[in-house]
Formats: sequence, structure tokens, C-alpha cells
Amino acid sequence: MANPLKQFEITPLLPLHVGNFDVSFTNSSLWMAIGVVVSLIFMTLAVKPKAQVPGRLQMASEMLYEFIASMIRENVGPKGRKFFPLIFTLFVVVMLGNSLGLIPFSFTYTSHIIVTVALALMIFMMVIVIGFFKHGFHFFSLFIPPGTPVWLAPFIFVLELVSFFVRPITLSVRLFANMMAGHIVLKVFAGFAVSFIALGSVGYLAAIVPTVFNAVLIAFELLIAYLQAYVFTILSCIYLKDALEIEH
Amino acid sequence: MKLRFSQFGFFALTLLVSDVTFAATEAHGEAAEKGLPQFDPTWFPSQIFWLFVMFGLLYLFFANKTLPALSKVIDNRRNLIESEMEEAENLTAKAKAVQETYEANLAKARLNSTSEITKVEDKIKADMAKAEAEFRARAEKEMAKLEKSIEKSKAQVMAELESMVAVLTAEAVEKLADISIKPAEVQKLVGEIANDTDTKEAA
Repeated sequence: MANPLKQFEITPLLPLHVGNFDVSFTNSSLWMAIGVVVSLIFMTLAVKPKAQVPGRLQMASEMLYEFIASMIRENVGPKGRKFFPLIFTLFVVVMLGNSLGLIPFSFTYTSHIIVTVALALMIFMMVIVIGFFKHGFHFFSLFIPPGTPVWLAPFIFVLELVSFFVRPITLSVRLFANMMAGHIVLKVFAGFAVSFIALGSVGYLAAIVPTVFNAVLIAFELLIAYLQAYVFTILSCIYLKDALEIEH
Repeated sequence: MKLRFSQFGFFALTLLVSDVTFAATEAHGEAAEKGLPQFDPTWFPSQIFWLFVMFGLLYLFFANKTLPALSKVIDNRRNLIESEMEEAENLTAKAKAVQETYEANLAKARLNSTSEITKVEDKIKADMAKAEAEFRARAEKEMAKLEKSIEKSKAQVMAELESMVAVLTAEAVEKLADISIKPAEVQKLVGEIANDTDTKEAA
């Protein structure tokens, strides 16, 4: 039986070096590229008709648009408008990474901690930069919620500071762990089926059980793929709101 | 319950089998002792680099092409719906105004027709009254004329009667008493007698 962790291994396809860094085009990069191409083709075809009464494809793209737009409206407010393309792209990248990974023999780039950390840190840095740019030193008042007693303020400040810096970690680890765990479970059950078949004619019958289980799991993983993309995006929205609006 | 236990046993068995095979492959030393490939830093730069290249590509495309086009389509549709709703409201208002004027006109026409009818009725009544009055006046005039002529003929008849009485009296007197008397005299007498009776009657 194959190692269930083998699916996460990266193999370089096109060696490439920039300075001292090895930035080879790998299977991970390939699936990122596939995601980009798929979304570009989908969105271009969907937007092309520009119909007043949308067809299916256009309707799907408009639903995605409205979905992200309402997410920003509700979680960031009117100031979040200029971040719409960013949040939209973030959702598409995470969503495609999660769901393309469910195709057999594909690669799930969101199951790599470095990818999720990079995305989470991008949001985190943005929050800090925008926060300081907009509010200056007043940004620190984010760490003392309104109504905190003065004697409790230093303690709360430390607590809030820690929870603030933990954000990118929880954000990235949540996505990474979900994706990795899901794919390991899928692989393990697929492995059961394969090893049953190797046992002979009885094994063929027995292999039905993990196969059916895997089918159910794939449906479940599709839900997780969407859900985690949604959670990642909505949390990014909420963190962004902190930078844009500081109450009090 | 029994079935469940057997299923559980089956799963336990499969787990065991897989564990054994897993251990076997690991023992072969293939990809073993490396731990999770995700924590191997060899490919970190490549991952980050390509992630941001792809993210950037997608962002540029979405921000400049897809999203403006989509928002334009959605805005256009919203505007169209709004303008059509507005037009529909305008048309409804117009229709309402038309109906109101129609109703006002109808009421006016109804009022006019009643006044017309009363006018005509009044005219007819007046005409009738006029005709009646004319007729009555003419009738009275005719009656008066008739009465006058009757009176005149009566007087004439009376006068003729007097002279006839005088002639008859004269003739009777002549025949009975052989006294010749002129009718003029008799008439004078008769006139006196008549005057006498008249005065007596008057008294």
C-alpha cells in the first residue's frame, strides 16, 4: 500500500533558480496554474454574454460575485469595497486549491502549511500596515476593548496582543490541517480497497466497503473544501474590519 | 447489533491489514523517516514564489477584467429594473389621471344632461302655458264676439218683434174694431207699454 503522505510530496517539474532560491516549477505550482487557468476560463466564459437575463454560467459567476460582495458588506462594511478584488481572489484561490485536490492524482496546494501561512501572513501584514497607515499609534487601542477597567488594561492588552498575533497561525493551521487530514483519510480508505483487491476474489467483494465509504467521504470533503474556503475568507474579512474601523 | 459487531470487526481487520502493509512499505525505507512533506523547507521558496505569481495573475485579471464587467452587468440590470419600475409607476399614475378626468367628465356630462333635460322640460312647459294662454285669450275673444253678435241679433229681433207686434196689433185692431190706426202710432204705444213694464219690473 502506498504511503498516504506521498500525495503531499513535491516534485520539481522545471528547475528554476532566482538568486540563491530554488523556485522550480513543481507539481504544486502546476496545480496552482491549473487553478488559475480554470478560473480564468470559467470567469471569462461566464462574463462574456453580458446578458440582462443571465444563462447558467453567468448566473454562477454572478452568484459568486454577490456572495463575496455581501460577505464584505456584512463583515467589513462600506470601506471594504476596495478590497473586493483581493477577497474575491483569495476565495477563488483557496476554493480551487481545496476542490481541485479532490481530483484523483492531483495535488492539493492548500494542504501545504507554507501556502496557507503565506496567504494568512499576507492578510495579517495587510491588516497591520493598513491599521497603522490609517490610525497611526491609535491602532494599539484595538488591543484594549472599550469598557476595560483601567487596572485590568495591561493584562487585557497582553491578552489581546497574543490573540492578535495568534490569528495568522490559527487561520493557516485550520485550513492546512483540514485539507491534510481529509486527504490522508481519503488515501487510507482508497489504500484499503487496493490492498483488498490484492487479496483475490474475496477481496474484490470486500473492497466495496471502503470504496463506498470513500465516495461518501469525497462528498464530505467537497463540503469541507467549500466551508474552509468560506471560513478563511470570512475571517480575513473580519480581521480587515479591525484595521479599517477601530471603535472608540 | 450482531451485524454491527461484525462490521466493526471487519473494519478492525482492515485497519490491521493496512497497518501491516503500511509498516511493510515503511520498512522498505521508501519516503520513510522524512516526516510530513509539508514541513520540508526545501520547496518553501518555490511554493511562496509560485503562489504569489498565480495569486497576482488572478488578482490582476479579476480586478481589471472580470469584476468590473460583472459589476457593470449587475448594475445595468439593476438600473434597467429600476427604470422600468419607474416607468411602470409613471404609467400607472398616468392611467389613474386619465381615469380621474374620465370620471370627472362623466359626472359633468351627467350634470349637464340633467340641466339640459330640465331646461327642455321648462321650455316645453312654458310653451304649453303660452299656447294655452293664447288659446284661452282667443277663445274669450271669440266668445265675446259671439256674445256681442248674439246680443245684436237679439236686439234686432226684439226691434223687429216690436214693429211686427205693432203691425199685427194694427191689423188686429183694424179687423176687430175697424179702427184704422197707423203702425207707427201702435209702435209708439207699444214702446210706452214696454217702457212701463220695464220701469215696473225695475221697480
